[in-house]
Amino acid sequence: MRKISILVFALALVFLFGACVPKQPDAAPTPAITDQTDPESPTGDATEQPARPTRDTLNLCVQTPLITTDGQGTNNLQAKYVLTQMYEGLYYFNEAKGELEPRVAESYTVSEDGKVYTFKLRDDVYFHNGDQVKASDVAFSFNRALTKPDIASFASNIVEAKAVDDTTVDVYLQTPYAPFLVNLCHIFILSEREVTEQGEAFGTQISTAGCGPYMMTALDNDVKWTLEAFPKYYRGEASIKYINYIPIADAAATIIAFEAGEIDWIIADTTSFQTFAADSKYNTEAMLANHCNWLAINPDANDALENDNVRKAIAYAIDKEALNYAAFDGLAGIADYLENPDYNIGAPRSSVKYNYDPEKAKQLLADAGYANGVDIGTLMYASSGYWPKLAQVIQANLADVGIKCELEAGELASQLVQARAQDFDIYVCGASSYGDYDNIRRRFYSTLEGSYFVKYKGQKFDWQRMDQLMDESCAATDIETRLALTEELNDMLMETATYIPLNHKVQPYVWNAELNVVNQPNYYCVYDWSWN
Amino acid sequence: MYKYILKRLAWMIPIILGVSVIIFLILSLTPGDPGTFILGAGGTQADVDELNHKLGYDLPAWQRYFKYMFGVVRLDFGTSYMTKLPVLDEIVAKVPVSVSVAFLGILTSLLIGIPLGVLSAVKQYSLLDAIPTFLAIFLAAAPSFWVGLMLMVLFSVKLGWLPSQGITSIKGYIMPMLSLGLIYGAQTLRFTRSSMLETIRQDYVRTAKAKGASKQAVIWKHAMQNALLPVITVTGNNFGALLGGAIVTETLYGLPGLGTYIVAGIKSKDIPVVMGGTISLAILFSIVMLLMDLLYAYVDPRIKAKYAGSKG
Repeated sequence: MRKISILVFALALVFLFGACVPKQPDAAPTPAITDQTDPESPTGDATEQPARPTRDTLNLCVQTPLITTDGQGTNNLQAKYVLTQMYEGLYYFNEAKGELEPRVAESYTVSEDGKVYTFKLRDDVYFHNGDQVKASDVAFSFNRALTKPDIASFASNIVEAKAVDDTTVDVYLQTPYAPFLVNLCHIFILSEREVTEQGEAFGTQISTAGCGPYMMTALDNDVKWTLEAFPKYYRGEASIKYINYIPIADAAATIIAFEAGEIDWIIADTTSFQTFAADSKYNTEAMLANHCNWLAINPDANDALENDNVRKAIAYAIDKEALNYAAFDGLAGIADYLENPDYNIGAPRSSVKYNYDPEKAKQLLADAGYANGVDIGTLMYASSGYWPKLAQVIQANLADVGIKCELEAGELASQLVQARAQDFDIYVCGASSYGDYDNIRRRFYSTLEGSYFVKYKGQKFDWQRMDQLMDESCAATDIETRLALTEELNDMLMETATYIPLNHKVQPYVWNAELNVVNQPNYYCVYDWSWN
Repeated sequence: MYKYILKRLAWMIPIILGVSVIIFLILSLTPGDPGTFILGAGGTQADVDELNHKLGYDLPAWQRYFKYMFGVVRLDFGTSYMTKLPVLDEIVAKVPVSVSVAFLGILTSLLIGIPLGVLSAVKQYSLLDAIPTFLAIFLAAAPSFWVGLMLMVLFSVKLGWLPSQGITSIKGYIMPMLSLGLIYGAQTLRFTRSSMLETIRQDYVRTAKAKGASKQAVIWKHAMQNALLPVITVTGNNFGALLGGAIVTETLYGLPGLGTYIVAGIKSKDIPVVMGGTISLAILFSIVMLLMDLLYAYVDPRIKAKYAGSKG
């Protein structure tokens, strides 16, 4: 009986771990290649044919079902992956180059006082519903954006937009505002007729109100939705005819679907990325996202954190390289600045940095009267993703110089409420940027009521000067003047040691070797992609 | 019997009210609001406040609760904060997925668990007992996500037979069904085995044997009927739990079921979704439990007789 049991145990292990054995090239059947021009399966049904995609179909995944088809209905990253293919703005912000490219607008002029932008529109742009894009649609879209909380931040400073004639539109600003041109890239142009006709239902069904390179042709929100190349797109029809989007929430399942050939391009995790990079079947690119992780330090939390030297000691105690290896397998970028200067207009390479220097951290602590160490309270972090790893390394780094803190995990939605109320000691968090240094306004401007996470008003910081520099830098139309102002501002903000930049998140892109891809830091444009 | 069914159905009203109050209280007491979640770290407080106002989230909690429950009475489960779609429509689309996946999973578990459990019991201490028992312990201990991932690697990546995601074809149901069937089948096997072992030692089974009944007849006709009672209990509970609790399986295989819908609602503080989903689950669970009780009566004539007696 004992021998039999051992035999059973061995057989069971062989059976159950069989799936873990690396794939042998000859063992698996060759997947069927679908007919590239099969008119019966224009959507290239991924679930029916878990094999190589057709040459005119691209299968992509997103983490969540599409929450809206309204191009102005959300700022959710997953939804914007899709919406960016369907909608366009007057200009497009090329994140990788940090440059504006014309789209619906051909050109623009600015009034002498910098408060009126006049855009000349192309006369060959059509919505997916067949209507021609007119200045009235552009004015409607800008005025509608003012009422949409999800994207209202991009429309800030706009008073109104008015159509002058069919191809000319004026946009009026409250004050001269340099970030306006980057912000307007995030305001998609919608068909006034379609939006008005559909009313409240707009965004909950297939939309043809965009003028981007792809139009939506099928929407089963929980299962799959399909975009098709728009034949009348003014820059020419896209090379890839169809895009199927499949929602896959689980990261491991995404990797498996990619390996099974059901998905053609993914944002992998950094660990899997290394394996894919070593396999000639795939192309890979580790690109820095336009995103910054930082440690927020609340100077009002307790006596220790109120002390400038303690906050600076925390900044110098953090080993950003160690964070990078712990959370991103060494692929992320080290962040020295509040916004990445490579991706954001007006972002300076300022002189105040906090490089890892534990001895200096200890000295600063001693200067602050805490030579024997100090307890600064709790380090708050989100319990999912890479945040726990970042938090653990930070805790260990701080302990090395004599700074003690407890870890406190939680849900992001709850923590943002705490952060806005400045109800934390130190908090490791992050956010994406949108292409302009003015993104920092939401963290540092005193009159944005409830702006997170540190309120600077009071005696501790020269918040009036910080506000003034933010206003003046935004009003500066000359880039050199603007950079001089933002550099002074950045130095001031870094001197507060309330936000310590840690790293720029990495996007570990992996895709089918037969696909030609132009990756971007945050979003992508399938229009620029093609099959070999 | 009919009186009993009506009584059980009437009990669903306080159950649903209780569930709705508890869920609403939990959602209201936890920090966070939909506006903050939707706008994320980039939104200013003014934008968040405006969005919360548009969603009606700025009203006092008790007002929101009564407003919502008055809607439920009129079969209006509200509108999702995230998708802006009527929650009832979304639930109606997701219930068939959850029910079919749960049903197929349970069916597979019964097809695996009952025959192997009986075999294991009647061949106690033999190889035919050792193998299923070992597998049952192994699968009961294995995390469901691991079993699911291994099946995906085997059938999608290695063999290329089945799609790893979605249920656009019948093939899409096979792996979720297997994944749930293996895990719950292990549990069914263990219950069937222990129940059968107890039953085949009963006097009436010995009497049947003594009267010359065939071995098959003794096992499947006399012993089986009694041995199944605890299995029915477990199966009913499992089925009810799977309706909203197969979250790991739903997430892994991209199944648009109720479980993932509710979890997504919880994460985004989408109160109409969480409330609507939970109330629907409470109703479904109550119905399943009622059906299980009726099945008891069918399988065990003593229970039916008891109902008949109490009526008279």
